[in-house]
Amino acid sequence: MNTFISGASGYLGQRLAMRLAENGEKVHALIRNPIAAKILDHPNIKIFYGDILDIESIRKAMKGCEVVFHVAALARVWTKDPNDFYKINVEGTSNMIRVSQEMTISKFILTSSTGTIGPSLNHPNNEDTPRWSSFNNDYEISKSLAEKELLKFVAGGFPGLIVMPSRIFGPGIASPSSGINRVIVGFMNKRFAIIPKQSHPKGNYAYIDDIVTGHILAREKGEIGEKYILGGENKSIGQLFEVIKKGVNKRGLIIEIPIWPMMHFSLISQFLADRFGIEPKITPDFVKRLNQDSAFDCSKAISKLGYSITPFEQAVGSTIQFLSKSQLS
Amino acid sequence: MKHFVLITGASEGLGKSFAIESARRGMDLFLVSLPDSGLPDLCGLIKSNFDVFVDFLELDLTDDQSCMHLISLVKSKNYPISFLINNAGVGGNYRFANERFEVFNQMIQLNIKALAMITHELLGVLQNQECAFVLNVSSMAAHFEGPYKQVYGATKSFIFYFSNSLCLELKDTNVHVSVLSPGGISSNINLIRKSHHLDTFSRLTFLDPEFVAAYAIKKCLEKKMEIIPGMLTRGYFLFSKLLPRFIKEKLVKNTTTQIFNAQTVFNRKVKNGETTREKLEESRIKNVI
Repeated sequence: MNTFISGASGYLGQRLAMRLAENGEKVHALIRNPIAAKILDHPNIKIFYGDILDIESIRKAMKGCEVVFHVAALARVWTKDPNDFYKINVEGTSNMIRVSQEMTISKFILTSSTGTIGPSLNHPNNEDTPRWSSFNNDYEISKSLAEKELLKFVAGGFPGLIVMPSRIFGPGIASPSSGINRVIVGFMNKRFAIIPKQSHPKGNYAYIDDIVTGHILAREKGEIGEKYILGGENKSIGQLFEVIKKGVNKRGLIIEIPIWPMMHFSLISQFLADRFGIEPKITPDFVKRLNQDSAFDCSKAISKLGYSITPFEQAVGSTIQFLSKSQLS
Repeated sequence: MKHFVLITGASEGLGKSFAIESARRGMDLFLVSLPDSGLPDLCGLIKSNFDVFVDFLELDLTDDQSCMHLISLVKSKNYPISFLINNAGVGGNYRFANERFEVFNQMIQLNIKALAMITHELLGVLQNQECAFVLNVSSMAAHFEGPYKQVYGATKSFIFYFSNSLCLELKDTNVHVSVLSPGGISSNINLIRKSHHLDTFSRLTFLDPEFVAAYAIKKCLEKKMEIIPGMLTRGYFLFSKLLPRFIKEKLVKNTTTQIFNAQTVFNRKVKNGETTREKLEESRIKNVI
């Protein structure tokens, strides 16, 4: 069975492609940048150069495949032109679906994000929680439009389903989409971190290898038209840093500051970004999210797919090990 | 005291945020919104997350009979409404001559008539409570007369005058009336996307509905009369009072025209198929600016 992966040179896509290849499966990887080919160096991975915005290139790469993992997305909080989010995440998805339909693919797995469900209230969100909060950023909007697009095709008989990773971390290539990894590296190098005071809001932190397994499980057992949250444990930022500090096993300083100076700093960063195109270190919507609960409940994936969660401390431990090794090399 | 709040237009944007914020504060809720706008789901979410009573009614407040139906239902159920949030409203920027009158008629019906009627008929219920509040949603547009907002701005001016006048009238009673004048609110997908076409200042004054709702409820319960959320907007508002009329006019004209153009650019994009797939969203567009 041949499997197609878009975004195979990305943080999650690369890990998924390598796992499948190591399991002895043939993988068709669609990538844009020839430099990225070396991270997909495996006899079972066939590389195709192209772009999800170029239908012809998708067609060539998808020939002979039965299953499609559509992992490619613009996953970050800021770009110079916000329209990029819509082009890549919405039009790109639509292109992928169209070609998959032509090729009569047997299953199409869209990698979305828990960001489309948004923050939680007193209880963790699940796949059916209606969105109560306004959208934080263009990324979230574009991903939920992509979901809608897929579900529209599913209503017409297209064999698509959706997996939604939460905040992802773990071993893998350096990328803007692995924010938690950068936080860990930052703490390892600088030995200090600034976190918001009263950081009790919980986030859901998912280990990349669990998410990769979840994708493969979704291919095998996922039902058409369904959504599955692929997450991890719900932790506050304070708890997250406690575990990181313990794992790094060196002295470090965690400074707690109120949220408002962060907000002001982020507003200035945003202003500079809008005016002069300087990439912001933190954006207002990021600070806002720091202050919101976004706990998730993955019991649907656990019961329906057989998904399992690596214990948080263990997962952070392996991540730190991996990151310190790659720091040395 | 435990409040019982009635919120109109509760299924989307600012209204939804009012509902969540009220539930957070432990208030019981009666939510009103258009049919098929996801109100039952919202009520389910609130019930499962907060220990409050929730009931709802789906109807279109643009006709008098529906308003009367709402009023008699609330009365027949004996809900002890102590907080009324008149949030439902429609807006938008239009060239007066180019638009069907029906559009403006709806604005007047919903923004003025429904609001006045509901407040009038439920005032008795409010007065029967220990302490009661009315929060009416006006707009910054009421304070800055600009082009393309003729009818919308006028309806919001009505709400502003009405609220302040009623507040004074009820001064020594147990009912307090507040009026909220928000600037831009990023209450739906299209407004966020449209805001990309605005300049930095206008974009920075855009506020989240969650923030506006929390701020407005807090200030209303503190018995503030006029509520303007957002420091920048508040600053701009106060500053504009000092400006001579001709400068103010020019500034307002610039901003309003910019918003109007942003809307036109966005709509044209949709028409050209650049964002075809959002047409569905577009049909639900509600301009709150």
